Amino acid sequence: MEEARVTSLRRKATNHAFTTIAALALLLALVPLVGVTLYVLQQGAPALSWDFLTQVPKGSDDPTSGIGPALQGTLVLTLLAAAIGVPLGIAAGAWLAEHGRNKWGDAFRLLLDSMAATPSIVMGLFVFAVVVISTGHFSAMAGGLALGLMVVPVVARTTEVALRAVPDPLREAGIALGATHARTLVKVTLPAAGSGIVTGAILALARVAGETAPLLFTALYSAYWMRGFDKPIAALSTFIYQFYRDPTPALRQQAWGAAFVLFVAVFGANVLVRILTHARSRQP
Amino acid sequence: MNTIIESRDLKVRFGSKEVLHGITLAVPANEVTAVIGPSGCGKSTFLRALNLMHDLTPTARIEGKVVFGGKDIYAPDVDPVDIRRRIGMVFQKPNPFPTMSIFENVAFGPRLLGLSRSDVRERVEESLKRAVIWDETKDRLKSPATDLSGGQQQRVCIARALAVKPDVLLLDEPTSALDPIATAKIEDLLDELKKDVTMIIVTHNMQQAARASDNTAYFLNGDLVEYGPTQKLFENPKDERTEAYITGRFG
Amino acid sequence: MERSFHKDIDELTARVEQMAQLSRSSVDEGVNAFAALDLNAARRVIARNMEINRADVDIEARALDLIALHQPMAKDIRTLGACLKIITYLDRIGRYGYDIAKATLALEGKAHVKKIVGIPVMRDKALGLLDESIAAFRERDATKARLVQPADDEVDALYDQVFRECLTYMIEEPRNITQCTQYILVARHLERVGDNAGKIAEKTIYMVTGERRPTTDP
Repeated sequence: MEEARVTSLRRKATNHAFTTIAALALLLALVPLVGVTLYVLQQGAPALSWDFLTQVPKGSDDPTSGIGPALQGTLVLTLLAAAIGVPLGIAAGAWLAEHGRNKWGDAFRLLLDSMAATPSIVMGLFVFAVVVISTGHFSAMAGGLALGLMVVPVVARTTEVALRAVPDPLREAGIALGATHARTLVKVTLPAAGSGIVTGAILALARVAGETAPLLFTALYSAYWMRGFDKPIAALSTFIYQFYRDPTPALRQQAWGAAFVLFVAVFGANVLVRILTHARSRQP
Repeated sequence: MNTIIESRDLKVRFGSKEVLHGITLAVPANEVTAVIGPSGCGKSTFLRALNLMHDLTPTARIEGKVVFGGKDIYAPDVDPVDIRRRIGMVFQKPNPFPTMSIFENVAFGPRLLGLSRSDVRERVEESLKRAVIWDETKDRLKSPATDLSGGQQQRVCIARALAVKPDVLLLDEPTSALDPIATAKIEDLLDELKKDVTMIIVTHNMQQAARASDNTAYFLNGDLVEYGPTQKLFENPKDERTEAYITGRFG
Repeated sequence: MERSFHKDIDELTARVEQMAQLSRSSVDEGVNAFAALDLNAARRVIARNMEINRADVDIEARALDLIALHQPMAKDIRTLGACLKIITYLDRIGRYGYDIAKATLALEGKAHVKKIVGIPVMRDKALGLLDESIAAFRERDATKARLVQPADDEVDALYDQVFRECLTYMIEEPRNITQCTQYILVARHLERVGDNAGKIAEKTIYMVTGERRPTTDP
């Protein structure tokens, strides 16, 4: 009897010890995360103002200096990336889901995974070599292409997963009604996988919105509002790159402000995805 | 007996395994024919062979014929899309298209056929009425089909299948996921619908076959053991294997 | 695979056989009492009728329970259906035994007119048919059951004979009328026992083969 009591006490103690260690590990992991967030917010907040968001950069001390073009640039580049990468990614994902359960599918998946693992700077270099050199100038188009290529593998994989998750009876119901495979894919399967595909796309785009390296050799940078798809363009990430070690504190401040905006945008996209996912899972 | 569809020595293989061993069965028009048998006996495989659903399975190999409308549906010059319009299917678990409203679900088939907007609307109403679910849905046609209860969803699926005006309707355990009241409603429905549409229903519930069908076929291990009028098969089966199954002496 | 439900059916048919024995002995002892004009024996037969009624009600209830709970098919439902009809026939047979006992009491204080030769022979033949049909039921033997009905013709013929004999006696001597009337009634009851035995055989054939051909004359 005594033995049993002792063992059970020991067990409880061990349990508590491990729980405590796990909690401490969690806190340890959270520290840098929370630290970064708070630091960015703290550093960047003072820079914020309506002017900041809408005005062009004006040089050292002009208080009406702003990141307007950078904001515009990030939006444009993200949209370009979406226009190029999302349709291609969905098409690739659809092929993989419907016809890719074989050696060819595995090979293609390997290719996509390699693409996803490619360092972003290499992607930028590729687009530089292929587009910038042949066209002779840096451009928003090139930047959008570089980001788009980075979006493709992620969207393809999430699309494949989302389509695979569509239960077979749904496809069968479409076929049994006399729809061809193509019609069923477009009208039944893709819509059913819809929210999964959308969240995948949003996450992919949120990630590339903050990329810097690929833009350095493609979109370059500009201090002005967008002047054309064939011209260089600003972006929040390249803006930060420009000013992060500027001797002028005011400009460094602006870099932090840009970081703040970027951070909030990416964070917001992730929250949006969470909301959409929850809404989907609450359906009967 | 007026045969509407029949299989002749139908064999189905998945890879190297033969699952149906030469089934010859003639289904009479405008009657309900039930297919019963223990799990794995091949009844669902048989049903799916009737509307070319095995095309979706790459390892499936079919031998023999299924004759419908005077032609073998497995002949190379037959259009599977046309066959599937004329031989519809309702599945075990109600599966309305989740992103579409009730109206859109039922309109799916007619739209595929290219009917005009007003014809589609008429067809949807007619089909929902035939499936005895019009009253419950007429005021919420635009709401998602997934908002309905299981039994209602299944009737919408039946309406959806009816909307292309098939000659034959194949039902694969249509009520096994439903409660007894919903089940009873659908069984009554079968009796009404058979006037226009021949029904073939696979069921693991013998009492359902006994209640709701005119003819019953008993499958065992990929063979057709016995086939005849339901009343005779359940009161005095000819084959002792049938007797063993329906009296529960074979578990 | 035997399920408990199938054991229940077997138990039910055993009860039917037991009831058959009760009914049989009612007829047998009833005729013995009549022949010996043994009033006490007759009263015992009369009392036993309650047991037979109870068996009828009990078996019917059990059969209906099995049907409601288990939705039997094929041979099982035919067996239960046959049992339900057979207990009705057995109840009637028991009732005839009771009526024969009552006839005994009706002759209290009187003596027999003649050796009532026809009646014991009729009893032997009718109970023989009953034994044959119950044996066929117990053994689930349709061939045996098919032999019962033709044999019933003999019992019918014997009844005609007794009837004619009694008429003769009554015309000869009007003081015989009381006894002879009872003889005719008793013979009639025994003829009906034969008929019901034939019906039991009919139901046995249905139980075993599913055939429904009437084998007794309406």
